[in-house]
Amino acid sequence: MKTTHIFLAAICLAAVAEAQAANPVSVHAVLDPPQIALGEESRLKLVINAPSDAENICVPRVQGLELTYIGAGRSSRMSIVNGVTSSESSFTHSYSVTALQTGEFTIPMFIVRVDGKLYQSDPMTLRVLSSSAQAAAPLLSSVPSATAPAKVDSRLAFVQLIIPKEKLYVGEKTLIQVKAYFLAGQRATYAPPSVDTDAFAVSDFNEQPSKTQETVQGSSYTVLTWNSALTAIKAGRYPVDVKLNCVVLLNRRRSGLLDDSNSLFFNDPFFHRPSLLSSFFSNVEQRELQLTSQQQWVEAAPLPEVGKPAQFSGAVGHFQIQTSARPTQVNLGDPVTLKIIVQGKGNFDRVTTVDAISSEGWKTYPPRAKFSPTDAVGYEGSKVLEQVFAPQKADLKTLPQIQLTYFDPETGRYETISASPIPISVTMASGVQPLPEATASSIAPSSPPSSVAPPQPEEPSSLKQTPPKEESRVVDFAPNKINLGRLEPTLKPIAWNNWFLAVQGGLLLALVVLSLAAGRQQGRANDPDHVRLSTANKNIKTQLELMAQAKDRNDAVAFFAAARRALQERLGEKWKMEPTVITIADVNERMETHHPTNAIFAMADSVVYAGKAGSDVSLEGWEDTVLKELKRLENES
Amino acid sequence: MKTHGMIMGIVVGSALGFAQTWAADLSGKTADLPKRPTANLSGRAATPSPELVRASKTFERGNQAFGESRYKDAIQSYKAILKEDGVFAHVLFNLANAQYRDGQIGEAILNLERARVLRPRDPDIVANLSVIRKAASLFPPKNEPWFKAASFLSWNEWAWLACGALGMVCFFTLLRVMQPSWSFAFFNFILILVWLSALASMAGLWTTRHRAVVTAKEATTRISPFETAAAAFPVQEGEVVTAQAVHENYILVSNRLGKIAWLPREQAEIIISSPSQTQ
Repeated sequence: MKTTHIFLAAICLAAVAEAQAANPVSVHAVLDPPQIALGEESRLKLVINAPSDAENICVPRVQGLELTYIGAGRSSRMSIVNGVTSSESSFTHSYSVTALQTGEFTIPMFIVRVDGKLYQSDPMTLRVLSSSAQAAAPLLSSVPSATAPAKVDSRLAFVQLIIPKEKLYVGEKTLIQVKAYFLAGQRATYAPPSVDTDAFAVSDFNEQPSKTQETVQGSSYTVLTWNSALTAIKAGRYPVDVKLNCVVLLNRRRSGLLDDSNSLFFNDPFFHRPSLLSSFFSNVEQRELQLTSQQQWVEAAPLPEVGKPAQFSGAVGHFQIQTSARPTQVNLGDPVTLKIIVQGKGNFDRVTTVDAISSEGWKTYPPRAKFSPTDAVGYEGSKVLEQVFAPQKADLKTLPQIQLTYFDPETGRYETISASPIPISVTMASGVQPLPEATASSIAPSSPPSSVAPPQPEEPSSLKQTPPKEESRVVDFAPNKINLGRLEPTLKPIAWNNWFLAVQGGLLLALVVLSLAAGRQQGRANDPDHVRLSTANKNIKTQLELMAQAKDRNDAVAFFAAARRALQERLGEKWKMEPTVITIADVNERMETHHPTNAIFAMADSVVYAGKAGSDVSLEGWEDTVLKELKRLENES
Repeated sequence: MKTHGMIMGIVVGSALGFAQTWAADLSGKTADLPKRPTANLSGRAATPSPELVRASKTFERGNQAFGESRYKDAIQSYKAILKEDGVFAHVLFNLANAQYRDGQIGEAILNLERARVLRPRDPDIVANLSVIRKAASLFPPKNEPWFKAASFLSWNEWAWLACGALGMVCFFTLLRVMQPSWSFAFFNFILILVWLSALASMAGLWTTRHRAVVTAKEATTRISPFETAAAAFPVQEGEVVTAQAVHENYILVSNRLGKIAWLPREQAEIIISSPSQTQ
C-alpha cells in the first residue's frame, strides 16, 4: 500500500514538471484605464506568468508621468484534464501612474528577469486629458469667485484657501478661511494648516476646526474649517497659498479605493509611498499627504500719504470710542481714571493709545490696555484703555478730550473720532496750598501730583518731619525724610552671607555638645553612688578644715572628733552606710586590728569620751596619719 | 537662686533693649549720627566719621534741591550718597520721591522697594509705594498671607533674632551644665520657637529674592531671548516681576499672573542688589 502511494506521488511530480516545462514564461502589462484626466490616476498591472517571481524588474521612465510601485500579488492554478495535469502561476506587480501634464504618453516595455532569463512586455499608451476644470465646476460655484479650489480633482482630500478680498491696505486685517476636504468614511490625522507667505501676517490656527459634511461632485466629504486673519504687512502683489500635512488611513475592503484607480488621484510626492502599516495589514493603508491649495494673488496697497494725520498710529479698520471717568469730583492732585472703550473691527494691536486733544493743566500717565475679542482671531472686539489723569490746576472743568485716528479701508480715508469731554469738578483740599501757575506749568511735563510736600531741611533734626494730620489724610503721600538715618553696609541681607550660616551651624553644634554635657550631668546627679561620693568629699573637706583649726588651737578633742568624722565619711561612702553610725566596733569587724583606722578611732574615743589629756598627744603626727589613711581609703578599690 | 535671678535680669534687659530699638524704628526717630553724636563706653562723645559727615552734607544738598524742585540735582545727590557712603533707607526713600516727581515711576518704585527691604514697617515707605502704584495703575506684587507676617521684620532683623535666640538657648544650656539643678526648659522652648519662626520667615523671604522692578518706560518682553523674537505679554514701568533665569542680555521673568517671557536686562532691576552698582 505504502509502495503504491509513493509511486503515485512520483507520477504527479513528474507531470507537474512536464506541465511547467510546457508553459513558457510570459510577461504582459495592462493599463487601466488607458485614458485619464489630468490629476487622476491610472493603474498599471505587470503580470508575469512564470513558476517563480521576477528576480528583477526594470521600470521604464516616461517624461511627464510618474510611476509609483504599490505592491505585488500571486495567483496559481492547477488543473487535471483527462489525466493531464497543468499548473499556472502568475505574479502581478501594481503601479500607480499619474500624469504631470496633458497629452499622449507611450509607456515603453518593462524588462523582467525570471530564472536568469530576460523577458519584456509590450509598450502601452496613456492619454491624459485636461478635463479637471469641467470636473471642478460644481465646486467652484460654492465658493467666492476670488477663491479657486486647489486640486479639486484630488478626490481623496484637498484644501481650499478662501480670501474674501483681493486688495488690502498695508496694515489692514481681513478674515480668511481654510477648508480641508477629506473623503467621507476615511480617518485622518492632521496638523494645523500653514500659510506660506512673507508679505502677510497670518494669525495662528490654534483653535479646533469646525467639522461639517459637504457633497462635491457627488462624493461626500468631511470638511474641516479653520478661521484666521490675514494682515498685509508690505505693499505689493503677492501669492498666498496654504499647506496642510495630514495622514489618511484608507480601508481598502470597505471603500475599495485602491481597486478603483479611476476614482483616486493624489498629486503629491508622498502619496504612494508604501507604509509600514500597509505592509502588515493588507486592508488598511496609511498615506501621508501634503495638501496645497491653489495660489491666490492678493494686492497690498500702501496707505495714502495724502491726508495722513500726524497722530495716526497705524490703526486700520473701523472703530468707535466711548469714554467714562471715575471719580468726577476730585481734589487737586488726586488721580482720575478715564476709561476709554474702543470697539470695532481691525488691527486692534495698533490701537495702543489715544490722544488727548488738550491736556494742559493735567498730568497724564501711560494708559493700560486690555483687549477682549469677540471672535476667535482677534479681528473684532473691544479694547479698554484706562488712563490716569491728575489735575494740576483747580480751575479745570473737563477732562482732556480723547480722539482716535484710524484708516478706514472701506472709504479709503483717514478718520478721526473723538469722545465728548467729560465734565469734572476739581476742588482745593483744605490744608493744601495751590501751586503758583508758573510752577505748575514748569513741572507739568514730568511732575507727579502736586501733593508731594517739599522737604524742610531747616526743621530741627531732632524732630521728624511729619505733615499735619489734615494734609496727611488728604494727600496720602509721605514727605521726604530730613535725617540721614542708620547706615546699612549693604542692601544684601546678612543672612545671605556664608558667615551667618557658619554662625548658625556653630551655635547648633555648641547646643548639641552642651545638651549632651547637660544630659551627662543630669545622669550623674541621679546616680546614688556619685551623690554619696560627692557628699563624702564635701564633708571630708569640711572636717579636714576643722581638724587643721583644732590643731592650731591644740584642741585634741576637736581634732580627733573631726578626724574620726572625716574617716566615718570616707568609710560610709565605701561601705554604703550612714557615716554617723559607724563605730570602732564596725571598724574592728571589717578591718585588721592594727590598721591605722582602728588606731585613729581608738584614739578619738579615748580623747573625746575618756578625757585622755590632749597635751600628751602629738597632733602633728596624728594629722599626717589621718591624711594618709584618708588617701589610702580613697584609692582603695 | 541669686545667680538665676541675675541671668533672668540680663535676658529681660536685652529683650527690652531690642523692643526699644524696634519702637524707635517704628516711630522713625533714629539717631541722627552726624548731628547728634552719641556717647561711647568711655563716656566721651563719639565723633562721627568723615564719611558720615560728608553723607550728611550731601543729603542736605539733595533735600535743598528737592525743595527747589530741582529733582534731577536731588537725584544726583542721593545717588552719590548711595554710591560713595553706603545704603541708607532714608536716602532711598527721598531718592524715590525725587524720581517720582521727575517722572521715573519704575526707578521710584524700585528704590521704595529697596527702602522697604531695610525698613519694612516704615509707614511712609508703605504709603508712598501704595500712592505711586495707584497713580500708575499698577497692582502690588502678589503676596501670600504668610509673606505679610514674614515681612513684619526685615531680613536682618530676622537674622539677628535667629542668632540671638539660638545663642540664648546655648547660654541657658551651658548654665544647666554648670548647675544641673537649674531648669530653663520653658525659656528654651520659647527661644527655640522664636528661632524656628525666624528661620521660617527668612525661608519665606528667600522665595522673593529674585523680584525685580521694570524700570524701562517701554519695556518689551519676548518669547525668546533674542531681539528678533516675537513680542510676548506687555509689562508696565514699575511692575514687579520675578527673574527666573538669565541668558546673555536677557532675563526670563514671570509676572503676577504667572506668564513667562524674556526681558532685556537693562529694562529691569533686581530689588535686592547693591544700589551703588545699579544707580
